[in-house]
Amino acid sequence: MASPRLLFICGMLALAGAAHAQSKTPGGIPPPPGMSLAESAAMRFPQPVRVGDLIGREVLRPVESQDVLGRVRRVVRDANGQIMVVVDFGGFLGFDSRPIAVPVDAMVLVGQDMEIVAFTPKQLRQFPTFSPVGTADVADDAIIKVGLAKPSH
Amino acid sequence: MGGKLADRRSLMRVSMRHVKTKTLAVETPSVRTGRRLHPWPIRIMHWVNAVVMLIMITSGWGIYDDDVIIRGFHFGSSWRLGDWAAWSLNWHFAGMWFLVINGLIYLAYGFASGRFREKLLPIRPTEVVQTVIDTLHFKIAHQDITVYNAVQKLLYIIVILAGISQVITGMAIWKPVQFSELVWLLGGFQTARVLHFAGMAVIVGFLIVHVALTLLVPKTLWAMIAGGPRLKPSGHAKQSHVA
Amino acid sequence: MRSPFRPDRPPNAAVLDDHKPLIRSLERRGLIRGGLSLGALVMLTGCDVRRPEAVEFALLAISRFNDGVQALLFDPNKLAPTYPASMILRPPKFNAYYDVMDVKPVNGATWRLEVSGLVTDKRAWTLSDLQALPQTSMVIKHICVEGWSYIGGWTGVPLRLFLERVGADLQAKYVAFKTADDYPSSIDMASALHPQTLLALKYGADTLADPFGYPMRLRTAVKLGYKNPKWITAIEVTNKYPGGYWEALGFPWFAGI
Repeated sequence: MASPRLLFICGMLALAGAAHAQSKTPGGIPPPPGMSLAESAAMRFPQPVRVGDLIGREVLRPVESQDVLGRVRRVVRDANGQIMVVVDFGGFLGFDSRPIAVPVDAMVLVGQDMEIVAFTPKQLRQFPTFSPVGTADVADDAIIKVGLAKPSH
Repeated sequence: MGGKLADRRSLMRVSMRHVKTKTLAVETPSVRTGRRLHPWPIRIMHWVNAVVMLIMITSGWGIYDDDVIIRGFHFGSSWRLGDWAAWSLNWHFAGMWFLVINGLIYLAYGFASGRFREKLLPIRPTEVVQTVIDTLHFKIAHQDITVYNAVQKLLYIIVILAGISQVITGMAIWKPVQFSELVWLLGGFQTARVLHFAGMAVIVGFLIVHVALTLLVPKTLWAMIAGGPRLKPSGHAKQSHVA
Repeated sequence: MRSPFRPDRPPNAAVLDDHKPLIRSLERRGLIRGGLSLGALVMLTGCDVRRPEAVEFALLAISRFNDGVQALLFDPNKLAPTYPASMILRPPKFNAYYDVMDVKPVNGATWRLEVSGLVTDKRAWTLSDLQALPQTSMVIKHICVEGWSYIGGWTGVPLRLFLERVGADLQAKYVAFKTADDYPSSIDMASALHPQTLLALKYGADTLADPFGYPMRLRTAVKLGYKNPKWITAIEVTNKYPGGYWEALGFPWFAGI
């Protein structure tokens, strides 16, 4: 049976090939169907990052045009203890955005920004508006681990 | 006594006429006869610049796509010269020599021959406003294409300055350590990138207006190929009156 | 000793046949010596070779001319701007010719740095050997050819000091690197001797992490990012143009900032 990493790369290059006609080795490839977010995040060499350094970061779409999906508002732990990044999503230039909670395993660090690699904008639009009920803020000085991706272009 | 007053009045009239002619002469200084509107060096440099500027702009769009400055906006494969990063860069770093050499010769020629002074100056703000109003009413004077209206003068000066600005910001981006003082003056490396992009936008904006107006008045295009009307000593076109 | 720069397997002849004209033109430019790396071959098969060869030839010729101009513009005494440690981006930005899942971590305990070419001491170095050498730190701006930049902090052995230790011929033209991720790279000697060129072992106060080149990467403040190979396994001092991964695909070689 092919190694998970091989499956990951080959399967997604085929899919990504259509979307990323420009780059031969695109960054921010989504996890293959069937692989859990935790597994796919673990394959991206997660690095320690200070939660306070994430607040305000732009959250980008992993495509050449680097569309801005939103900004990081805060980081919380949900009722199951999973770390979620609350993103002010959508709208235009900050107007009319709404907060949604994105699992940190669905996101990557790209330099001074973040990207959401596991969900398309269409899927993100279906996310419920974030409610702080049952969640706990993660302190600014806390260190969490977030996966990496190469830049998208 | 009356005679002397009459003499003085007629003297004044003569001198007023003299003043009027003098004013005209200041606007259109005496020049050599037989010259065409666009001497051949100007024509060659114009078309070289046209090709090179297009190369710089479209290869620049390719470089831009590698890390977009305006998030959400990219040019895409149909608009870029160089199908991917390496070739956009190679076109850009090749074109830059032709742009600078051609540009320097053009500037030297423009100053040394008096062409800039003659054709681009003076610009009076009231004239600019009036020309804009006229243009919006489609009253584009094109009887005498040898005299640039105020908006033309302004646009040509702007595009020359934008071209110079592109070379300066380009050098800052190309050598941010060797020219680190220049980068500091421009406000930092990323700011220099934004300024370089903005300069491109100004030039592209100029190009759209310039090409559109040339197509609306096709004899200006022909003038840049064949030279245009011959100029009288006054600097106006021969056998045509000022509109 | 067999040169560390010869590939383990010869390139696939069928791929080369298809692209003979392009390869010949690249070879004429002296951009490919000692065989293509596997990584470059993968890229070449996806390459669009429909561009007119003459145009590419001219562009590459001008690129080589630009290398000469850049060498003239390079001031060996000019230091890149430095920044306060508080501005260091943590973690730094990752980039490679593949995405991060494909990073192949190196075992620091068994890792050896091979040294070859115009040097008097060709012994291999362990990580502790290098850590015992005098270290320098710098906080500088990393600038990528793509256009992005970030401020990072690296600590390591000045390459100049290392070259002097191994008795390198400092009049030689090139310092070439081989890496664990098939990313050959090389720089001019003048840039190698620049005070802000380090064999980096740390980022910030911490050991380099796996995705960022552990145990050792090149970090020079006077070159674009792609001239800073990660996971270095060998250094060669030579007068024969060594080229590099991206250079084989058409990117400029000098790439100085």
